Amino acid sequence: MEKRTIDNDELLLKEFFAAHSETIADNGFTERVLAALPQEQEGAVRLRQWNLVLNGTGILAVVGMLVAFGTFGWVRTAMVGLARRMLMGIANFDWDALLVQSMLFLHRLPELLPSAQQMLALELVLISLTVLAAERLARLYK
Amino acid sequence: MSRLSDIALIAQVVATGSHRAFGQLVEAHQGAVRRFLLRLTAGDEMLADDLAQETFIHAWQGLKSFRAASNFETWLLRIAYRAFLDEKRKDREAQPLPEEGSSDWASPSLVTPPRGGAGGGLLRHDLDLALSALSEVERTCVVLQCVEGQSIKDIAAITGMNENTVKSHLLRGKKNMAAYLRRNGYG
Repeated sequence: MEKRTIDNDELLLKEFFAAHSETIADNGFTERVLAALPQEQEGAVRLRQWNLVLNGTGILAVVGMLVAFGTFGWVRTAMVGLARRMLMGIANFDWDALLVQSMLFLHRLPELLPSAQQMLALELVLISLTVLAAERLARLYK
Repeated sequence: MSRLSDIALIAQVVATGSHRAFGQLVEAHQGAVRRFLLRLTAGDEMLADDLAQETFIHAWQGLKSFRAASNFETWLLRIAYRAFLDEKRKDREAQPLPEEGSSDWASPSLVTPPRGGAGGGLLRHDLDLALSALSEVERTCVVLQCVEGQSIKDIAAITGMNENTVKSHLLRGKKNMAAYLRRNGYG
């Protein structure tokens, strides 16, 4: 009995709300909201711009790497070798050598700082050396 | 608007601060937010629009905290409900205490029959009158389910009540509203 009453109530309300449903037209509401939005502070805008630049650079680097993968077979071989090496056990990696190289690089950094072009060239040399080392590793573990 | 489009627009707003993308979000969800507030304020269009504007400004400021665990509209309705409760509290604080025994004790101004500015014809007036037969929480739950189509879980998230409490408010609210409608010639 009570179940039937609840069902009847549900039906009555369903019909009532269906007959009274309405769509609210925008009528300039969105424009008013946009006009009332608080202005961002300059620092926040700059931070957001930097964030975009860095994210964009990251994406470009990944795309560049994928292109290099497709274009140069040796890059692919080197990376696959490196990945295999990492999968075989990161514990076996020669961390000491990496640390020594990093310290040497940091030690020499101040003398390389004067020119941005020199820094860029150095980065390119380092990346090439890393890829070559990865290729050697890939050959070793093939 | 699909949930995926919402998330794409939200990502755009968070990453670039794009007003255009936020405008698209406002345009897509203004109807639900304004309708919900219109029902809570018993048809006061001006107040509902002010609260809806406040809701979207809060959403703009807090968009980074949106975690996509819930639907964007549910998240907006939660902000809208909070804005309504804050307004009600302010309204109550601003009003002088009525004399004991006066009818004002039972009818806070924000939710009683429509104030000036209410339009939209007789249908809307009927709806607001029928909803005024309910207590505030009952009305909130009934509007969220029957007008906005929210699930019990989402109503609980919007109002901050647990699901069982929502169910009992819905049951009581629907029963009271059905009784009111029958007394007034429906059904």
